[in-house]
Amino acid sequence: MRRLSRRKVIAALAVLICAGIIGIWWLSREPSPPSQEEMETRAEQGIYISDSRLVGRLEGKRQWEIASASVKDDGDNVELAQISQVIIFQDDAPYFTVDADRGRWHRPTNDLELMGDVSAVGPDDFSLATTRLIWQARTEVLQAPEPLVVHYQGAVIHADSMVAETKEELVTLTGNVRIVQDGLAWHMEELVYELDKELMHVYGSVTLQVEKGSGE
Amino acid sequence: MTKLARCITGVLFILLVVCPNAFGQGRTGTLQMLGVPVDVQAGTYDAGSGVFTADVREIPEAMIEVAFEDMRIQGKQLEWRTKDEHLTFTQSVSLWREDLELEANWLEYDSATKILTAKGEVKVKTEDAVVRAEQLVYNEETDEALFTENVVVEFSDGTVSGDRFLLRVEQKVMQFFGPFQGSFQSSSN
Repeated sequence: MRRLSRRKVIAALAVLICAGIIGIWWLSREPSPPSQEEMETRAEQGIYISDSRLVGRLEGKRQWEIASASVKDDGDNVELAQISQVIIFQDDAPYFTVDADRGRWHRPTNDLELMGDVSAVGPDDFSLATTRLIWQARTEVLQAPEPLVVHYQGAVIHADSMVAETKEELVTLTGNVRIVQDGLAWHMEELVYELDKELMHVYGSVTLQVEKGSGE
Repeated sequence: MTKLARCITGVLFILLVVCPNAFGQGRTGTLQMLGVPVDVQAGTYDAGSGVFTADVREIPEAMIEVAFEDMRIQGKQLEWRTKDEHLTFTQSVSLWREDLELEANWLEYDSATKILTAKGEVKVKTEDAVVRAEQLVYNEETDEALFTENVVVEFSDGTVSGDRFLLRVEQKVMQFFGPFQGSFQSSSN
């Protein structure tokens, strides 16, 4: 057995002691905040589906269909991102097509909320632009709680919010309602429109400007 | 100036001011419903027929007003057929135009026939005269104004009254039909 010199033994002990100190310091230090990459990795945890097509049904009838590049299943809520197409059905046939940045499907109620730059296109030259659109499946009510612009049969409509009760065929526009059509420019606080009867009930004070030649 | 000439001049002034093209097609106008609480529905527009109706009779402080560039009309109840510009005001109707005021219980303008009709306690007031009658019909095409039923033309110094009073505005012709009478204060001049 080779005998170790005293100098070598001291040098080996010094290395061990230094390693021990570094090890203790390393283990006892504060954990550093996760990097952006780490956070993104954590956020994407869960059931993640890409390039999917979701179909919402009520009593067997197709109500809406969404093609989305990114779907995150989060229990009751399904978060949708990079939406490429939304189709709203009426009597199982396409009725509206909608573009939106993102959305949320609440599975227990089948409600659907679309957010971001939301634009809808429908029959009779209908189009709607807003930043939030909510479909309440049970009541079949479509809500736009934020300012919106609607084009419909040559009319341009602005309002702070809208509620469309599809069963009753009633549309209520509230707050700074402005309508321009056929040389008539309306301004009022609230409007209830009966779609089937084409009757517009105005609430509160109203201003109607008639442009030249509108009656011709 | 003779009394009769003054009478004609005064009434002609009324017609010249109130009638020509007051509601003709192609005018720019503004309708306002003022003083209606936000939660009260006072107007309805039928998009199919283009008829707007408004009724604020139950709201004392509310009023419906239609204003054109040189005239405005107020009332408590309105039917406006926007497609053919047929306008009907009912109850507490007032019209203002330059130096003239017209009051009536009912006022209608039909742009197709170009006829303005005012009914019920019609009162036309200018700086020079006041004409009262139960009905006024002005025809833009013929430029004739017909006051009927209990017509009284009041001036500062006299009155002319009858049942039927026709003015041909452009021709400056005034006709009373049936019995009429005039009374004037004697002038010191």
